[in-house]
Amino acid sequence: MGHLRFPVLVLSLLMVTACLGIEKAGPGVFQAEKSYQVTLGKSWTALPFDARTNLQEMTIDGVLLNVLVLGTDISDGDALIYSADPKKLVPRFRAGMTDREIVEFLRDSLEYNGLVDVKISNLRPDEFPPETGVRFNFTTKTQIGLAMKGDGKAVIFDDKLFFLLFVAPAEYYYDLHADEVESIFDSARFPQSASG
Amino acid sequence: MRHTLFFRFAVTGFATLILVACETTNVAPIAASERPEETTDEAGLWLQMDETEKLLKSSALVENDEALNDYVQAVACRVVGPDYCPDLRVYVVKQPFFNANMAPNGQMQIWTGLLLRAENEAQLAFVIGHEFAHYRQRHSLQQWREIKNLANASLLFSMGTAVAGVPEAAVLGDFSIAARLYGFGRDKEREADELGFEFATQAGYAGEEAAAIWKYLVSEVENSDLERNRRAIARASIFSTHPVTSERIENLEALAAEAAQSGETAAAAYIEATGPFLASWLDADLVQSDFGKHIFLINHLLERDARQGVLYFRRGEAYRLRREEGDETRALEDYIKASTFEDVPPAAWREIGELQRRSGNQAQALEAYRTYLEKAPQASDKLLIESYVEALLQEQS
Ligand SMILES: [Zn+2]
Repeated sequence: MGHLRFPVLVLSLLMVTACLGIEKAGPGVFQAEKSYQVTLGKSWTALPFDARTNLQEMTIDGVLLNVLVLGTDISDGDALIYSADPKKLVPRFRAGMTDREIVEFLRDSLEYNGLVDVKISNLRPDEFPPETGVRFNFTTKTQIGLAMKGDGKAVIFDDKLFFLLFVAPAEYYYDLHADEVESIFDSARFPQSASG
Repeated sequence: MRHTLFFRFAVTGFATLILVACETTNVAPIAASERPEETTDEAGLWLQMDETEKLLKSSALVENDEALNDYVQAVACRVVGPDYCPDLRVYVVKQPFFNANMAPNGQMQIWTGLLLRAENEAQLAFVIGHEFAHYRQRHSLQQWREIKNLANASLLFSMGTAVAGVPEAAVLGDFSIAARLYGFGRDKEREADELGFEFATQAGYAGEEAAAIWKYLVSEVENSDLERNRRAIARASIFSTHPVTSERIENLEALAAEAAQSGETAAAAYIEATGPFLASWLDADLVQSDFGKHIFLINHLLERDARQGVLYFRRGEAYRLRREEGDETRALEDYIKASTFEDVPPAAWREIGELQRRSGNQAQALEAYRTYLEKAPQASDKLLIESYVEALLQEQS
């Protein structure tokens, strides 16, 4: 599949969201809503924070080419999938989940929404000051068969879940900003520890 | 509508044309290797189906395992016979719902949620026979002609073309929309049931299995966590496009009683062919988060299936995620039970380790974690579990 098709789509998506208030973010410190902060090395486009799911997306080249998802303040019983029906059967975060279960919850949420064969690899403990969280990599495919690669980092802070996910097409786009993404993940911390 | 990552990959889509519906008209059955005349509306219908088939073929949703595909295609060929066999292309589609569908051009989808729930080859054979009957009787063409006469046909067209240009459009179709707009009548379903029964029994399969699979499905949905599901049956299931009514079940039971000759269930061959996928299909089913349905299914499988290590492990997983009163104990019991069978997944020991650690049984936790790391030296969570072992050792000293 050529790359030509994507920019057109992304453009139309961005035009749709323009009226909802997309903003420039970075370079510099970016404070996620009710949450941790990350240091951006490049200039990103931040889509509006979605208060229903507590998710915020950012992209450099367009959300289908690279997307960084910041998940914040996810409480017991919350889902990452918005539904008007609060009883809808979807994967839900539960307080007391282990690091491994959190990664499983993120995987399940991605698969529930139609990403295919989400394969997690290289789970490892990772500092998320002032806590220790978990880092991982993953591969997946879109339903049309486009291979994607991604990174994730998550932590429990005050019994709530906070995480970062990065996803991009495996071919070309994943590597394009790999260093930037790596340093963003490494920079994630909660403000009180950043100042201390 | 606000697009999020999670929303964008959602299963939405079109492909309503794939669906067959259910009213009798005067179209002659299609013959083996027959293709529609180029100038007919049927040829146009085929052309569109050929396009969606291309989309399906390159989709990540298609299961490519050769052995499984060969097996399912072979069952299909046994049911439809050698003449029609080359006309039929069966795709195993990785979707956790009970579903199968048939396009007018010979493309048949069998979803993994169906393969997970069929108990034996005979049940699969009846589903294939039913779908093939829709093909042979040209039910889609009849439906197509009926739709074109409807006032809202233009709406259907625009939905299809609008979505077709978008890569994220599901390759599979939104069955609830189709069911609502098309209104599936019972004549075509009855015809498909009766012909499907005939094809499968003539191929040597046991007639009782036709009603058995539907009866099981009804009882599974009765155990859903959602009352709405219990009443209306899950979206995107075979129920919406091929409604299961007590009338259909009775009809199939009557056919089996009349037929009287005995056939085979071919349960052993079925379990052998699907066995390698049991764990991953159950995993995908659990993602749907309907614990009541899921646990009912596993209990059903436990009664008849030799793969007890996998099944007890998977039931433990369901209890672990459900987290109701007493579920932690149930999960631990299932993991321990699973560990007594040869086919137990190594992850059972990891979970025993987690639960023992949570209960403060450090020695047992350590032992279980170590067994896990021994049995799964390439595990994706190796570093994480090693850090748990490290922490336990520090606590001990
Ligand atoms: Zn049908």
